[in-house]
Amino acid sequence: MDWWVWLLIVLLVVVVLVGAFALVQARRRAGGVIASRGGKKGSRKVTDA
Amino acid sequence: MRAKEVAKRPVVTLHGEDIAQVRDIVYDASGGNVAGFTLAGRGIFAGPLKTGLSWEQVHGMGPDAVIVADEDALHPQADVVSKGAGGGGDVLGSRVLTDTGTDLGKVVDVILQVGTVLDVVGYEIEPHDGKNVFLPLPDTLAVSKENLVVPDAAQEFMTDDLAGFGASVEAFRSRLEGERR
Repeated sequence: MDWWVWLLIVLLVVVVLVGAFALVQARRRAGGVIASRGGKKGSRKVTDA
Repeated sequence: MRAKEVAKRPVVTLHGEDIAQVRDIVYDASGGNVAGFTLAGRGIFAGPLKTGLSWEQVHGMGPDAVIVADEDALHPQADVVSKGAGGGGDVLGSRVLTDTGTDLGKVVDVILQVGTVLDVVGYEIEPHDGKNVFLPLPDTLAVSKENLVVPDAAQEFMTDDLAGFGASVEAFRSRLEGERR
């Protein structure tokens, strides 16, 4: 195969890997509401903008 | 406000630095308040952080950002989240049961009210049939495992209108207060 075909394949693989990594990280950043026992409680009034 | 609206909200210092974003809302299982937040980094390739933000370190909370004094407000996540017995589970998706054994549906969101503490005032529930409803909660409520048990009387104060939900919560809590006297 020509060199540019290999280059294209390598670029494609890199793009897919970067995309997959970004997707995984986005999922890891997504959170929820977790129940915790004994977490700290606040006592100061804060501004509700 | 809904808990899902708080997730992904940026954490910004008073100097304007964008240091993190909210990942999880940490619900104190021994009470009815939010203890703090777990955090994730900012940016497309950033993952979860090992630091957390306790509620007492929050300087202000608006619709677009959580404000802290500076980066020192962040502490190791273990200080905020304690996954002991009865804790650690995701409240979203949990089943809601009354104390008389009626299954009301599953939690799709948690309703919060900002004040001296970040009070968990209700659940948005997806019933087995029909549209979502808002269920008021008592001042303090133990949360654990996959079932959330609420007082049976809360059913009478359920509403499908978030705008009028504050009044439902007040009425429900006043009634519980009256029953305790």
